[in-house]
Amino acid sequence: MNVHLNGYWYPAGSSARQDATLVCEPHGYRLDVNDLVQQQGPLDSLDVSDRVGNIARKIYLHDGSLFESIENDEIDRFLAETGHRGRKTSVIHRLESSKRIAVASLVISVLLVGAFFKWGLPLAARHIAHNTPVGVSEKISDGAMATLDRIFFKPTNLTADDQQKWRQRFDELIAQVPGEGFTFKLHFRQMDGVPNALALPGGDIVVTDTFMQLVDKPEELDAVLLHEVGHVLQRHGLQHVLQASAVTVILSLAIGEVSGVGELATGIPIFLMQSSYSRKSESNADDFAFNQMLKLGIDPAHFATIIRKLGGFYDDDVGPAPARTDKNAGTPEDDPEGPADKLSEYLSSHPGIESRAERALEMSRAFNKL
Amino acid sequence: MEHDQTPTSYPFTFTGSGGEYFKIWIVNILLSIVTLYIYSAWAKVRTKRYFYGNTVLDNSSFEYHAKPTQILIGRLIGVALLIAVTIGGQLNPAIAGVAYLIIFLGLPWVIWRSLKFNSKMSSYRNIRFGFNGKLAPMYGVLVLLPALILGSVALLGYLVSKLGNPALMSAVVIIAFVLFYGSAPWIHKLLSSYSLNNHRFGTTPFSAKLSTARFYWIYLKSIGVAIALLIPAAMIASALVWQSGMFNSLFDMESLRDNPQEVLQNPIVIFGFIGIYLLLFAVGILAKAFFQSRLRNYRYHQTILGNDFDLQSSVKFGPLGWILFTNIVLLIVTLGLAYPWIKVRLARYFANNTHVLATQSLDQFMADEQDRISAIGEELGDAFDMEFDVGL
Repeated sequence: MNVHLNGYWYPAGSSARQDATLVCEPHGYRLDVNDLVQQQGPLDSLDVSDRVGNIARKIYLHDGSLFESIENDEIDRFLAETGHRGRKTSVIHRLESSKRIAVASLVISVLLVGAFFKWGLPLAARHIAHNTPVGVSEKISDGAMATLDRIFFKPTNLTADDQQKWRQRFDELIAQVPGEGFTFKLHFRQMDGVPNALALPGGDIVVTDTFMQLVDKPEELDAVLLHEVGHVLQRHGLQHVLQASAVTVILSLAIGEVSGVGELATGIPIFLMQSSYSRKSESNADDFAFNQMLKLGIDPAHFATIIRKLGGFYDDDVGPAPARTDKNAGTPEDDPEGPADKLSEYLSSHPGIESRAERALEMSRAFNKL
Repeated sequence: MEHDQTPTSYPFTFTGSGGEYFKIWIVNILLSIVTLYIYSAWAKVRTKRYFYGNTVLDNSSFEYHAKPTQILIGRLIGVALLIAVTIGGQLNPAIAGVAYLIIFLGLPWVIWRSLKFNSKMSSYRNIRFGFNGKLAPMYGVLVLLPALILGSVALLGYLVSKLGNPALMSAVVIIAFVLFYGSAPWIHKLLSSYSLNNHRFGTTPFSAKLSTARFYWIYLKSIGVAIALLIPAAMIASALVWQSGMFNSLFDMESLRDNPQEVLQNPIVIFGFIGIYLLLFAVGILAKAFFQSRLRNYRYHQTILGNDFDLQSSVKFGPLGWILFTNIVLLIVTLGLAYPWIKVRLARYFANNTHVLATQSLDQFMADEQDRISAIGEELGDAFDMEFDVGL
C-alpha cells in the first residue's frame, strides 16, 4: 500500500501555505514540501478529519502543522487499508452518499414521526396521565375555578332549591360510578347566554343556565354530566397538557433552525394536532357516558337529544331540533354532512354533532334490545 | 513588509450542492429520531462542517472543529429546560413567566459564550478565529438598557396618571411605543459593533466603524419598502376578496351576528384569511430582504481584518428577495423537503456576493494561544432558537 496525496501544507500556528505531498506507506508517512522531505512519522500520529460530502480533508501532523487535501477517495482508501482509527466514522459517509438510503431514510422518518404523533404520544400521555395521583389533577385545577368565575362566569339564576335538587340527583348518579378517589362537585353558573357544560381536571363540573334551559328530561342532564365525569376520570386535562407540551417541544427543536417559518410552521400543525387529540378525547368521554348509561339503565338516546338541541341552538334557521324518540333513530332529517361541515369538523375541537348523536342512537338501539 | 500597490480580490465560493446535502440532511434526521435526539449533536457538527468546508476562499476552505460530545451535554440541558418551561407553562402561566425572566437574564451570558465557542471552533488555513469581548457590555446592552427605557417610561406613565389627563396618557403611550421600537436600531448597532470589533483571526483583530445614524436610516428605509409594498398587496387582496365572494360571506350582517361560529368556518372565509396572511407574509419577506441586503453590505464594507484585508459584500435586494420568497414557497409546496436545496442556495448566493480585498498575502497570519472552554453556552442558544448573527 502506497498512497500519494497532493495538497497544501501549513506550518503549526501559521497560515503560510505551500504545495506538498503526503506519502503514506505501511511503515509511516513522509511529507514532501517543495520536493524536500519536511518530516516523517508513524501513521497513527496522523489525525485525520471525518469525511463529510466532499469537503477538503484536514490531516493534522504531530507537530501541529496541517496537511489539507481534496483527494478524499484516496484518503478513504488509505484509512481502510491501514485500519487507521479515522476510518470508524466512514460508515456514516457511506450512508450519506447513497440515494437509496436517502429515500429509505425519508420514508422511515415520515412513518416513525407519523406513528409517534398518531399513536405513540397519545398512548404515552394517556398512560402517564392515568398513573398520576388524583392530587396532581386537583393541583392543576387549583385556582382555575376562581379564575373562571372572575373572567367568564356570573352567578346562576337558578333557585337554591332547584340547584339542590339537581345536585342531589347528581350525587346519587355519581355514587354508582367508580370515582377513583375524585370528589365531584356540581356548579351552576351563568355564561352570557351560552349553553355550556365543562369539567375541570380536579372534579369540578360547571353547567350554565342557558344549558339548563335546553334540558327537558333529567336523563338528558345525566348524559352530559356522565360525559364530563368521563373527562375527569380519564384524566383528559392532564393528558392534553402532556401532549401539547410534547408537540411544542418537538416542533420547536425540529424547526428551530429554520428562521422565518418558525411561527408559521409551528402554530398551524400544533393547532391541527391539538384539535385532533381533542376530538379523540371527546369521543372517549362520549363512550364512557354511553357505557355508564347502559349500566345505570338510562337510554343513551337522551344524549342524542340534548346534543342535537345544543347544535340546534346555534342554527337559527332550523331552530331547536325536536326531541327524537327511538322511532326516528337512524333516519336523520338533517342534511348529511357536506364538504363545509367536514372542513369545520377538521378544524374544530369536537367531532360533528350528527356523528355523536348517531353513535348515541346506535348505543340506544343496543340498550333497547336488552 | 512589501505592500502590493493594487489590492487582490479574493472572492468566496460555495462548492456544496443541494442534492449532496439532502442525503446528509435526511440521514441526520433519521438517526436523530432513532436515537431520541442524541445523534443531533453529531448531525449539527456534520452540517456545520459541510457548510464551512464548502466555503472556499483562495482555494482553501473553512473548518469547524467542535466535537459532538462537547455540544451534546449542552443540547440535552437545553432540551430539559425547554420541556420544563413548556409543561410548567401549561400548568401555571406564572411558571412560564418566571422561566422567561430567567432566560432573559441568562441570555447575554449564553450569547457571549456562544460567540467565544463558535469563533474558537472555526478556522481557515490552520488559524483559529477568536473572540475577545467581555461579558459586561452584553448585560449592559441586553438587560440594563431595556430596563432603563422600560423604567423611565413606567415612571413617566405613573407621574402622568396622577394628573388624570387622558390626552397626556395617550401621549405617554405613544412615547413608550416610540422609545421601545425606536431604540431597536441603536441596540442593534451596539451589538453589531461589539461583535465585529471583538473578533479576531489568529492574532489579527477585526475592526469595524459603524454609524448609528446609518443603522437608523437602513431601518427606516426598510419600513418604507414594507409600506410601499403594502399598497399593491392591499390592492391584490381586495381584488381577490371581491372576486371570491368572501366579502359577501363576511359582511352578511345577520349571520355574523347570529352565528359567528358558522361564518368563520365557511371555507371561503378561511381561505380568504389565509390568502391575506400569505400576502402580508410576502411583503414581510421582501422588506426583510431589503433590510438584510443593506445591512450586510454596510457591515462588511465597514469591516477590516488587520490593516490589509477589506471585507466586501454585494448582496442585492432584488435577487435576495426573489430567493427568500421562492425558498418559502418551495418549502411549503414540498412540505419542507426542499430545505437542503434552499439552504445551499442561500449559502451560495451569500458566498458569491462576498469577497476580500487584500493588500497583503493570506500567508502572513499567526495563531493565538488556545484555551479550552465548555460548549454549554452555545447549545443552550440552539435549544431556544437563537442564532446570533455574528456577521461572518
